[in-house]
Amino acid sequence: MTALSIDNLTKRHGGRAALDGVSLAVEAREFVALVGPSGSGKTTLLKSINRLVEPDEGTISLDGANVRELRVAKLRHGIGYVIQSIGLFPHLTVAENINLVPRLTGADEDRAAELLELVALPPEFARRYPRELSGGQQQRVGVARALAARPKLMLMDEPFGALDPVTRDALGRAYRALHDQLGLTTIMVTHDIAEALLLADRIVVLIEGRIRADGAPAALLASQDRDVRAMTDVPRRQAERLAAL
Amino acid sequence: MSPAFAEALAALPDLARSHLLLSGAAVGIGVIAGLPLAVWSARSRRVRAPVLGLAGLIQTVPALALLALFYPLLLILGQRTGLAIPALGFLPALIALSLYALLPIVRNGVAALQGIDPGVIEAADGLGMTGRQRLRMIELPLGAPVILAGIRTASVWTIGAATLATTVGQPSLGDLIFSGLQTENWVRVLVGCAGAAALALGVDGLLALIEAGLKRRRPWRVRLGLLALVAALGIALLPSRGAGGETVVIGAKNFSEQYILASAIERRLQAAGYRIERRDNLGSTVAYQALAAGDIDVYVDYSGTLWTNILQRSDTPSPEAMLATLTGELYRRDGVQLVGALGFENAYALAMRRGRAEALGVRTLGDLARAAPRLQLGADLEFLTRPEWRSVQSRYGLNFACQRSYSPTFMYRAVEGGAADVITAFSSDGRIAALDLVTIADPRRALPSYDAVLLAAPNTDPRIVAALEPLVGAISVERMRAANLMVDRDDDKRTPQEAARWLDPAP
Repeated sequence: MTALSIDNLTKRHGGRAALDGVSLAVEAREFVALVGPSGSGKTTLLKSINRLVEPDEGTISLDGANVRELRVAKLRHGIGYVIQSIGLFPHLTVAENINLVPRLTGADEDRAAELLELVALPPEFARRYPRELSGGQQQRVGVARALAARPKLMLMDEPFGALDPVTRDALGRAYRALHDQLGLTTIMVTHDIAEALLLADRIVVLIEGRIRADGAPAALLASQDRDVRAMTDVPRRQAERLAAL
Repeated sequence: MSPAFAEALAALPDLARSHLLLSGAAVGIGVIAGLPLAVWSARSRRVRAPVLGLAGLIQTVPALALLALFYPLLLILGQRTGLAIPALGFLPALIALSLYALLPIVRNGVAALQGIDPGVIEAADGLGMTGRQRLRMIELPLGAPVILAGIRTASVWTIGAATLATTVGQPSLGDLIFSGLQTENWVRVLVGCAGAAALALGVDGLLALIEAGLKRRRPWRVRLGLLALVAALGIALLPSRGAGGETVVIGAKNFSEQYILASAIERRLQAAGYRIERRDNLGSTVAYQALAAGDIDVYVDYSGTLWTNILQRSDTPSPEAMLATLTGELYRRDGVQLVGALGFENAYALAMRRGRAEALGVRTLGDLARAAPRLQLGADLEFLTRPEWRSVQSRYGLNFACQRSYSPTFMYRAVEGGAADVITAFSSDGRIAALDLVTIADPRRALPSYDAVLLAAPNTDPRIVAALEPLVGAISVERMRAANLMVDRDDDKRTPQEAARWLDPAP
């Protein structure tokens, strides 16, 4: 079943096209990584889905409904959103951060304990303030907050980019497990090609606002495209050098 | 305790309350107008530049001038619209101070909102907050300490600037400062300054408590601070002591004689059972216009001043003819009642130290014209812009080497110390005799007569006029000089109230 369908999306910044006729269909429960160099349009594409960016042309449909015809707030309440800078609200406790979206939608249920358990944080964290947590713990709360309104779709923009490599790896794998456990559809922007290859079911390579490659990790590794090869060569060579030590 | 200190202390509570109310209302309006402007400016660059620019521009206008500007503006507005807009007192002071409070509130508001981590804003948007929810739940709570710091700055500035509200007829702690400066009653000045400083520090302390409470998320501190502020404003709002009875507003210009005469009027009216409000330190034309507009009920002016400034006449008829014409013309023009002349004249007279005048052989203004190119003139703040000065210049051809303006007190100091050779003295001033000055004769009658006259606003209750009738013709120039000297001298200095009691002991 197609959960998300993007059709001929174009977005111009000044004279330059950040997105140049991108079309993409994402199946429910799929884990898609958007990769590409800086300025390739991957974040613009991601933000077009929850309308933090309004494209100039093209349509995006979520479960068959055109996102432009939905109320922005309602659309976003139904989509989990996790970003690199985490963006926890420093004046609210962890529990208040997690329960924010249910509060906005009027559901007003306290899911803090349940969600903290889901992201493997101790329950007493509920009363703490974000500044009392490490970066990795904060992003676990960020994921919990994004999941609070039970979204089917998760949009993640470099979610683990600011974390140290050990935390980053642990959190990436933990999230992948959550994705499977909860039956989520995830679209994750990353410029860490190894992370994309190891976590995602499918990798979409964007270069200069266009899709250059789209396929499973193994297919991508086999790609003969020069730019794609340049990207996949980096972790491959690193692995070879590590093995030779 | 000295009488001056006791009097200043007795006046303090009412003045402090009116000072606090004015400042509180001004900061309140500043917040109500400033925060939406700050939000709007933070959201839109196109709004930000003009708003911050305008608020900064207002700040560069001296507070005194800003206050003075709203008097004519409101007067014209009242005339154009036909509405009864009070041009003097609370309203112009409130508008000017609110504008003054705006800059720190808007600037800190913008800084507070722009200083919020962009990641937090992106998260708020991404989670589906509406603009209003984001403002209420995220931006205002996070920006609160910086916003409050702006309100603190605005409060301290406003409480300081509110002392200047006195000049547009709004009672404030400035009443003590201005009248104390004019009469060299430093105790009064100090009490006024200390009162304003104490208010500023107190309010700043309470706001600091709230700010710290917001920053450290201690709601009880915020509540305590708010409670204390509300209580202070509540006390300021209580009706003042001695309420009851009809209120008469007495105006006075900014020199000792005016304070004494206003006090004499106050004593007469209090004896007749009226409640009194004073509007001291009004400018010359402001006082008359305030009377004509009914913002003040009575004050004392001088025939020559009304003749040249209000009727715009440049001839100099006899004192009797001038009084008769004034009585008819002021009533016809503005409905103002000239109750009568008090019995003495306070004319502009050029004066010099006796020894200096004798050495230069100066007895008349004609003699002075010959010596003037080597002499320095010290004038009061308005003389050089008045028609009398043009009249003196044109009839005698006076040209001084240098002309400086002083407030009256410092003008006498200047001639005493030699910084000025000639000053524009007042003929009823006790300091002429005390400093051994001589007044220079005006044989060509360039200066009109300046009989002190009691003026009452249009439609003033005849009973008020009747209560003041005993003052008409009752004050000789000798007694007025003596009363003025009591207030102006350095030794055995008296307050204007004491001098008024000596001048008119009857009531």
